[in-house]
Amino acid sequence: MEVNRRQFIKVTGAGVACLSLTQLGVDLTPVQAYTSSLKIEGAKEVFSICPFCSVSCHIISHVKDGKLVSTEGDPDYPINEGALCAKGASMLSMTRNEHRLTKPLYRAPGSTQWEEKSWQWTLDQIADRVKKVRDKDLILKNDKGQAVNRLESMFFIGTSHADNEECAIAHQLARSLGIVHLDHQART
Amino acid sequence: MNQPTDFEKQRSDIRLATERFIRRRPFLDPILRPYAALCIEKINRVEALEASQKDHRPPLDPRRLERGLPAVDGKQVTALKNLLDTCFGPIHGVLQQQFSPLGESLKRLGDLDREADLGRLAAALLSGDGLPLESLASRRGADLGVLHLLLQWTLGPVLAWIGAGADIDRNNFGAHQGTCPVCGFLPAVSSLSTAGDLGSEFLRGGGGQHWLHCALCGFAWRTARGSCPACGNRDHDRHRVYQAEGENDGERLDICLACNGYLPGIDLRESPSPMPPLIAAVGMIHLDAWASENGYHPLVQTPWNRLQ
Repeated sequence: MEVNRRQFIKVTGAGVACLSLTQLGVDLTPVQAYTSSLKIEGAKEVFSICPFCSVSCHIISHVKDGKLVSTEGDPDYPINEGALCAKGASMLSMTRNEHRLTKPLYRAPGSTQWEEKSWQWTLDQIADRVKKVRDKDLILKNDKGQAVNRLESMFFIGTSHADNEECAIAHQLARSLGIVHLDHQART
Repeated sequence: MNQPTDFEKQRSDIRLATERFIRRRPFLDPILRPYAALCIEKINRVEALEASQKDHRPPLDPRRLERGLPAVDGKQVTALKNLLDTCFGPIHGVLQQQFSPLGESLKRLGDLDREADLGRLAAALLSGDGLPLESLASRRGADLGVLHLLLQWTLGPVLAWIGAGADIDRNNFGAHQGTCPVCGFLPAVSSLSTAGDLGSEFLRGGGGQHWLHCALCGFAWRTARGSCPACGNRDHDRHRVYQAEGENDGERLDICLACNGYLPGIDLRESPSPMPPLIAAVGMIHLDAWASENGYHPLVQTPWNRLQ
């Protein structure tokens, strides 16, 4: 007997005579009542890659109504086999943490209050201040007369929730300004 | 996965999981208890085969697996007549004891181990050759569904015993193998495994490997997440996971939007332990009811997921 997949599916599928629970003597009323009392919802499993470091562990993201609801390591990916580091495991907080800032906050010098500011105001402030400091402090040449274009009076720090690509862009920005002191939570 | 030969633990796990389900959903009592009795009798039969036939396990042809065919072929099933005969009586007895509405048909089929060739009937069942079965049921005046049920549960322990001793790497059999490597049936339920040793204190999570559990012999084999066992669909946009809101203890339905088939599943990372997946499949019958109402069909029809 050589039976292929299609034939087996036929064997085990809807075409085969099969008893029902009712024929086994079961009253289905309580099952149906219980089922109708439940809220049953679906989610999509989206296979993706953890953005935080170059190991690039695979993750499964559970998406419900277009929103990320949970993540887990992809058990079939040979590098992480379902596991994630502490940072990757808490990836959900990157988009769903209720404490995450969604608008710029500004605290004026000497003030104890944070003020909500627009992105335009914030970016203008940063640009003005960066330019002012850079124009004043940029070191074009060292003691030996060699070109260094170095800005030592400014420090650049990245958030732990910056991903690989954001870190790469931030790094290029800092270097292009001549900043030599820059750091990031994930450097270790 | 449990060691296939740890029989006492398997029986104990079934009893514990059954009681837990019934405490949580009392309406399951008349459904789950008879089913659990049948599952326990199946384990008893596998244990008896292991004790009496250990040195006579039929060899499997590895070339069949390499060609994508199930390890057990019809010729072998036909030759298993004596083993099927030993399983028939006890399984018939449990069915008669637990399912009184089937009594009349069971009575008319009660002598199949003496008066018919169970090997040939099982081979017909496995190959989908309905004619000999329809003819037999008709001659005996028995319900064809009862004959199917009787043959499936008679064949199940024999195949389970063969599968337990088969040289099949169940962990690496095939990422998209939808049918049972032993008997070729589709799965009745899936499970997501618990995490093992992650090898580092800095890692979190783990587990979640996708295992399929055969509807006929109970053999478990690992496949990739998000692949439909029936139609082979691997498009994640056409795959959904449904769960009841609130306390669901890892109970889920994997639905394939390509073929409209569904497979109940249990995430063992979230479920109470022990949780035999084939018991869990019947314990979450409400998900079958929901799927049926919404136009989806089970990959394998069993009396425990046919609610109409």
